[in-house]
Amino acid sequence: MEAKTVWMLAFESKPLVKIGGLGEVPPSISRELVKLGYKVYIAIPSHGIILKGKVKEVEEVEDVKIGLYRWGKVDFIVIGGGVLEDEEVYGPRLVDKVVAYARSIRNILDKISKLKIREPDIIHAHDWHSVLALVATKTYYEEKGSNDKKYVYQIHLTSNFTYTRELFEKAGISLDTVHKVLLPEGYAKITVEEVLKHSNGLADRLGALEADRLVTVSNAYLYDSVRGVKGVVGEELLFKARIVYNGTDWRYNRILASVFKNYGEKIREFTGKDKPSRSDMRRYLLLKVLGELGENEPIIPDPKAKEYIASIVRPPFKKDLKIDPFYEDGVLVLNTGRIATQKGVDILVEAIKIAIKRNGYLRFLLFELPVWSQREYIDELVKVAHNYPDNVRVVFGYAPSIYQFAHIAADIYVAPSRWEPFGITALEAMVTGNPVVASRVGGFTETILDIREHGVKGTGILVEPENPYELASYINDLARMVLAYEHPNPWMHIDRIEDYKLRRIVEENPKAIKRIRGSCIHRVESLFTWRNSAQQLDNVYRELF
Amino acid sequence: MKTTFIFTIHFHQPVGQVKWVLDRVNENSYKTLMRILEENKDIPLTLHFSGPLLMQWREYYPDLLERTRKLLENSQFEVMGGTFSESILTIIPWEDRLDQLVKGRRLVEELLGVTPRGLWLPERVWDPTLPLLIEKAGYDYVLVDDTVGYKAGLWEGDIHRAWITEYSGGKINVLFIDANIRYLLPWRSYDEVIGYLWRRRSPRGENYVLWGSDAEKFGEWWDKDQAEQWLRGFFEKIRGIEWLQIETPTSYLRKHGVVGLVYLPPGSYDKMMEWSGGYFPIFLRKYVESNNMHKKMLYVRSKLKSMKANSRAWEEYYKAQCNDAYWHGLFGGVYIPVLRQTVYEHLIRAERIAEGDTFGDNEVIVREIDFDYDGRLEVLVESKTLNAYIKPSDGGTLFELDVKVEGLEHNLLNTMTRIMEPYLEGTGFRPDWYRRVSFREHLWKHNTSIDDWVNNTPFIDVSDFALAEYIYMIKPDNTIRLVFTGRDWRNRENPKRIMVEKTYTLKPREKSIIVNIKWRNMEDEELDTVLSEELTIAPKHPVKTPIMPRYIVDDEYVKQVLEKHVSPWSYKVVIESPEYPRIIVEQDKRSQLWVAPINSYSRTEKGLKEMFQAIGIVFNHPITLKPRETFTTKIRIGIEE
Repeated sequence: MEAKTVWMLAFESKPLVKIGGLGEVPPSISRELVKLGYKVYIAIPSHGIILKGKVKEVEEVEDVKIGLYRWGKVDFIVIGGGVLEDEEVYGPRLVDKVVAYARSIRNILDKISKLKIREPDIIHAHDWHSVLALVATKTYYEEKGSNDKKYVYQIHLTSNFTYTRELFEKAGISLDTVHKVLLPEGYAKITVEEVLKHSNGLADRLGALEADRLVTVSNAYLYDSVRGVKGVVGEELLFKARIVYNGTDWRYNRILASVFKNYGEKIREFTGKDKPSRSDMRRYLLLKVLGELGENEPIIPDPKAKEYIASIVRPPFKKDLKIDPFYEDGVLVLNTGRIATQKGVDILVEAIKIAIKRNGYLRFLLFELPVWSQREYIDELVKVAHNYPDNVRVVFGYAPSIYQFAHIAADIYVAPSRWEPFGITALEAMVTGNPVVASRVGGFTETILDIREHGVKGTGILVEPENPYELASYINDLARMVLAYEHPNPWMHIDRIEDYKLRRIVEENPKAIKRIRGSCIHRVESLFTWRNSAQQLDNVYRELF
Repeated sequence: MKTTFIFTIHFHQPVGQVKWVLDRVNENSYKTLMRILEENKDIPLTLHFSGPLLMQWREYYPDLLERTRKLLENSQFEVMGGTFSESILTIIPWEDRLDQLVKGRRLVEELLGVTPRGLWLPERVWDPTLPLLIEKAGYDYVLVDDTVGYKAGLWEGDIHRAWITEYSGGKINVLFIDANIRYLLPWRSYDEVIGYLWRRRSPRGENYVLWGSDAEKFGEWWDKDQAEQWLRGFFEKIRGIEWLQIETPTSYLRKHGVVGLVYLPPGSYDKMMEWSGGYFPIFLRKYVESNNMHKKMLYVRSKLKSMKANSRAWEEYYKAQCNDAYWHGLFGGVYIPVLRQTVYEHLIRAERIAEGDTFGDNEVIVREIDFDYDGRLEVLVESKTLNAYIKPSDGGTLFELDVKVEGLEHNLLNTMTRIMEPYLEGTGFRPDWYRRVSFREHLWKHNTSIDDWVNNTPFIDVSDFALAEYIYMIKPDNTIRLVFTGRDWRNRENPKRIMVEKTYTLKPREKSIIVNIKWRNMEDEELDTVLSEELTIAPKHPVKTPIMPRYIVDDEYVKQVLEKHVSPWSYKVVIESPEYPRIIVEQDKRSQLWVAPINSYSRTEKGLKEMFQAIGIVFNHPITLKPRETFTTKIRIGIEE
């Protein structure tokens, strides 16, 4: 197959704009696709970056400003002007942005040669915000008489958003356009109007109808008929569906080396050891580093949320939302993510209260990205940190200076999501040697191997979703495994492991946790790399030509 | 027409009874009774001497024992057996029950030279599972209170006959103690007593009236001379009554046999049912101290079993099962500190003997178990010389501190929590709102006095530390670190958080425990408060001579335990009692100090009695803490080396 050109349509993408997992996937896969011979462009809305001059405007068509940006061998088409410059990525003007984004795509396609960018062979849209843009592109080429382009729609997180006729019209898409659509019985020529009718405007179903291939991030999410793809798209379209797992570019040795580069001397000084162990690093993190966040950290993009949090926190928070270090070493349990109902941070808070009463060794470190609309969860997090200062620290926002250090020094990661299409954070946790206690939902069921079934080849424990008791129980069990490894008297801790299967594993090998850490690292590094993701995607693309 | 009369006298003194009380009861009651019995040795009376009493006689009054032995050789008396230490069978482990019965029987055989056929059930606490064990232990019959029979559906006429009861194929004959005559004899006139007996006549004397009660009624509870006169007169009187047939249970059974089969529910005498709430083990729920002794007993038992302890250890263990300290009715019972003290002494001794040399000199062992069976874990720290038991869920307190050194066995936390007894209602008494043990944190309201603290003035503690569930960790060096973040609620709109970090350290071989308490201001503003640490310590109560312990503050102020002491700037309290090394409570800094006796008020056979239980000590630190600032104190409790 000759080198194809892919246009990724996405609403966010690192390194320019990243809010959640979505911003991670297109660029990471693209980078690897390039290595497989693809030419890749990622087209994203500006969200203010052109306006602020972070990316230079190279062309203006009507009211659309176009910027080009290069990130390694991946090219970005940044589309700005008007509402697209609104800094709040998913703010109240989101729908206007979605429409403007779709309309602007046509302007760009008109200017391809002037912009010296290559015409796409494959248009790969990510999530519901890009569906309108996908249809805009498809109808654009249909009107031009060239229908050899292929369309891929990828769902990272389903949505119940519904497109209306009005939005199509505003985006400049004629509903009468007849175009080629892949239906279960084969390709058919139908109007956009008919697709809108078939899908009831439901964005994900519409995207799935228009696309030649539907991609999502895990089997469990694909076949989940409640919140997953099947539930939104409908079973009859799943014949188009393919799985492309997400990945991570984190590598254990690289992270360890980088942490040692930054902190090695201090850790050695603090611990008095030439070769500090993982628990030495943890002790240093908990008792020192946590109290020394970088100058501008934590970074909270949402200014209202930041102001609100600053107004309610007391020690162990500092006024600038930095934190006091812990007072005593313990078993470090990590959680990271956006504050959202989906992420189950409220379930985690409940589990924390239960778990620490059973095991005073537990130290919870939570990196939580706050948004103003989720104040109730913010309150819960602040409260648990206030009430249990010996056991809980919450960092609101990003703290890049210690983020990877925290991972490499932690003992356990906890992922209490109510639903989770994939869950990249679990990969980051595992690749840094942390077994994951996760809800038995979505991608977790494929990325995590349950230790109860796989023994020391396992990489975590899958627990019943929304059950803080079970979550607490397994956090405690894994913590006891850590303590059995670290303490002079392992039996004191082995006896407190509640799950008999886990207890038996440690009875046979009190150092089981060390083997499990190895399994975590190995699993991710061998299976869940972006290179693997790109290969899976390459297979999908190849089916189309 | 005849009435059969069975007259059963039960002699008992608890394990651990102080010497001067034993002397008094001997003089007042037992010697009196002995004289009367010697005069009436041709009457077939029934006697029971409890195991603890026989052992005390063997130790302190061998003459009396010999005199009794002789009397029995030449009398018509029947002697009953009992449990070895007069233990309540329903609250001891199943295997112990049979051991107690068999050992009790052997003790009677050995010391009195007779073989008992009947069982005197301690406190007559009956349980339907007992027949199997009683039969196995070699007994023919058991005496049970008539209330139990009535509960089983028997009629008044049935109660005056003998029956068989069965459990799991084991059977035993049962005779019922008549409650009515217990209220007549010896309190009412001869005529009333004899009138009652007359009304129970039956054609061949198959109906019996069984009087069974305490020997101490004659001379100890009731004036010695009057009692002697009454009883001597009574025997004279009944000798001449031709329709009255005096029998022992064995002779009765031989003549009249049993009526049939009966199944008896758990129970005891009427008053016991009232005090216990209907079922004896309920006492363990009512008194946390009873439960503590009982669960210590179960814990020690598990050690004896796993360490294959010798018979000496088991004998100590069995002595600790003596019932008196585990409950409270008409007598002080659990409220009598020396009885609890004795239980601990025997248990600690059993534990030490069992442990033998298993403890390394440098060894401290920590266990997390649900010691008191409340569904929460306690932390037990043990060395060769001390046991320290910590309860994270009750304010992170120390609730037992055992000295295990040979000859010095003592639980320094043999304290007593004062609960609202029915007879204390309306007396102005305020019960303790927390268990009186050690290392409990408080923040007192301003102007709180020593009396407010001792007498439980409501709402003087403005914090939530006292009853908090502390979060704990057992560190690799075997220190126990407990943490709770509580609040000073003086300003209810804006309570101030304080984190308390409490670390217990037990060093091997040392006879003291060290507790570090760190208070941390968790607010961004200054905190102006009084940080208080409360301890309760039980001196060793003397058993040989009635001398009250005393205490000395800062090596300077000597006080009797019943006195209070307030000082503005102290660091040390030393407790002295005549039969024990000095107990030292010492803080690493000076502070305001309160010392006061913790006295209970309990009903006894002689009315409401204030009883010294333990010494309460509070260290108060008035302080201003800057944001995040900490304040640390270190307290040591131990006995003098």
